Amino acid sequence: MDTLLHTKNLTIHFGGLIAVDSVSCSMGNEVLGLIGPNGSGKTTFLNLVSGIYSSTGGKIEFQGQDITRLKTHEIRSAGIARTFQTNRLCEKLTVLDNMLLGLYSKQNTSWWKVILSQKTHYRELKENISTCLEVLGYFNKNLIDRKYELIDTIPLIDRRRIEIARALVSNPSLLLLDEPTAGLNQEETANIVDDLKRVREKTHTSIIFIEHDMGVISTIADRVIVLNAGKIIAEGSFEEISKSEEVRTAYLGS
Amino acid sequence: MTENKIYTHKIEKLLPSLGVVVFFAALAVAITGSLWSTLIILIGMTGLLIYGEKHGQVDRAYIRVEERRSSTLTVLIICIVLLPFILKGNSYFLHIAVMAGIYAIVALGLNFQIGSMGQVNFAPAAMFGVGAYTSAMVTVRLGASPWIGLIAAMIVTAGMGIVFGFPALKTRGFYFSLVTIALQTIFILLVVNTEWLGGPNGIPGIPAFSLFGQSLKKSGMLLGTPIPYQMNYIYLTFTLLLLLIVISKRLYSSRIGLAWNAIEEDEIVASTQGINLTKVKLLSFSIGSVFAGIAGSLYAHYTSFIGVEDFDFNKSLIFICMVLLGGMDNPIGVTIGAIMLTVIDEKLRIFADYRMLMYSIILIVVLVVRSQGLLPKRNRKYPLGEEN
Repeated sequence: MDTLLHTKNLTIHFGGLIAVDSVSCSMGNEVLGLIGPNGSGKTTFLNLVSGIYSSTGGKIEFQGQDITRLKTHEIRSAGIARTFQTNRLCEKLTVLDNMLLGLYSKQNTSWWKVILSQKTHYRELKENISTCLEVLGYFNKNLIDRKYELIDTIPLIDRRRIEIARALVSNPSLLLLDEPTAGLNQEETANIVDDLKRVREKTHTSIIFIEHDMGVISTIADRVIVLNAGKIIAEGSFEEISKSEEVRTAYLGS
Repeated sequence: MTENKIYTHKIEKLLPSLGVVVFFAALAVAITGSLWSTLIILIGMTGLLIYGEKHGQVDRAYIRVEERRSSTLTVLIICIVLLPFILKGNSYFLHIAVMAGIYAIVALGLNFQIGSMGQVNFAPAAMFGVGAYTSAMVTVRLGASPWIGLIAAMIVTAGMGIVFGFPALKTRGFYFSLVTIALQTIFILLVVNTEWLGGPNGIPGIPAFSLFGQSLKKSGMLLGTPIPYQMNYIYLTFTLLLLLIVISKRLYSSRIGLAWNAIEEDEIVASTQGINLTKVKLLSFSIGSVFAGIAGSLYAHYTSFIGVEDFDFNKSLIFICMVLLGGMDNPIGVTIGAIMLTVIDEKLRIFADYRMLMYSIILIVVLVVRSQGLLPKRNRKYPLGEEN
């Protein structure tokens, strides 16, 4: 298994609090579930990998390249895209504009070229729009017709889909999903799981996702990492970790 | 029935050009008429836009203009060419039109920050001043051509834009606004206390632009009637204004404009989409400042005298009002806002000391009635890829 992402003693302090405590793990091309009780450092871990926080210690390697000190936008260009726990689409922009934002790192037309001539810019834009609509249609065909509508008219589940689609449109090697099913009902959760399965089959993108719904974890995760108080306490297939005594204690208390 | 349809179709085709003509006619009436006619035009314009927005006509108007872009542009250029004659060749009226054009350029530049990025910059007048002073110094002290002054103003303001934009990288929202207020104050104090920059006395005797050996400050004769020199400046200013509107529109419709909008909503999300915040923010400030620099240079070589009071904090507030009134993130809206406010400002001179009071009341009323500004931002519609 080729290593895609590798972290070595990854640590971050917020004042006296150690949110992520020397986490060392590696993953290949797989779907990795990240679970743990509240405040165990799951989201912080994603924030570290996507460059929103910079670590106080340790190292992150992505495709053999050290990305520990890279800025957020450089990490996106390197091929790591993410979504957020609460929906963070640009609400004043349309569906299509949100999707085009996802392609920002893939566009090359610089500002002075835009000023001088619209031709190259239009050509690029045209290609981008068809890519965006293709990815969007992959999730929900209805969204293609609603491409010029503002985000606040779109139902929650479709916003989730748009957010995942926005991360996916630039064809990243690693997709970080922070609770993709948060706030959705059972049926909607099943739909998102379905979408994720299809995405995985089609693009073979590696995914790290945080989830509280064990049903979702058992369906799509190839491997699970359990965090508690910033430390990895268990690692393995869902069956393996569900037998672990330590995991039960972390979740349910002693 | 069918005949009727064809008839409406023909009218529809003419509508954009007709709109431009009506706008220029209204502008001419506003400039040449009394305060009341100006106010009636402003009220009419606001009412028309509110009505149009309710019935989806504004969106249709945009589509129509897009469809008939070249003819609309031709009519627009003809109207600009005819503007001095519509204004009866009166030098005062022409002066108002020139100032409206110059201020519109500053407002367009400011719009990159306020409209697109939601960062309220309180120092546009300082930037306008940097442009004017640079151009004036280069021509008066070094004896260079005003055109060199214009280029120098653009270069210096681009650099100053980066200096002004730098706090925007570290601060956000109110804090950023505070920093720009400080920068505006620093500019005024620096100019007043520097002998070399003319101090409180200003800089007199700034040469005018010249073209093909002809000074633009020379009154011309046309068809036997004398035309005041302001006409030349109308053509110069409005040509530049048109060019800068085109540049603005191109930037807005590109990925840069989209990135600015994303930064306004959520910087973290923007950066996770691969947007280099530092670069894109500084770009907004630099380009905005270059616009103000161009306007400043035009102003200096038009009035031939600049004093520090032309670039004070009140001016900054007026520029911000132009963007707010015209409609954020929409170059056409901002231009209309700037032109309307400049004209109203001139017309309010009859109130003498109460001028700013009346000005504020008008602003408040318009913004209460139409809070998003006259012509606010439109959702981007791409004319391509429709087949999907």
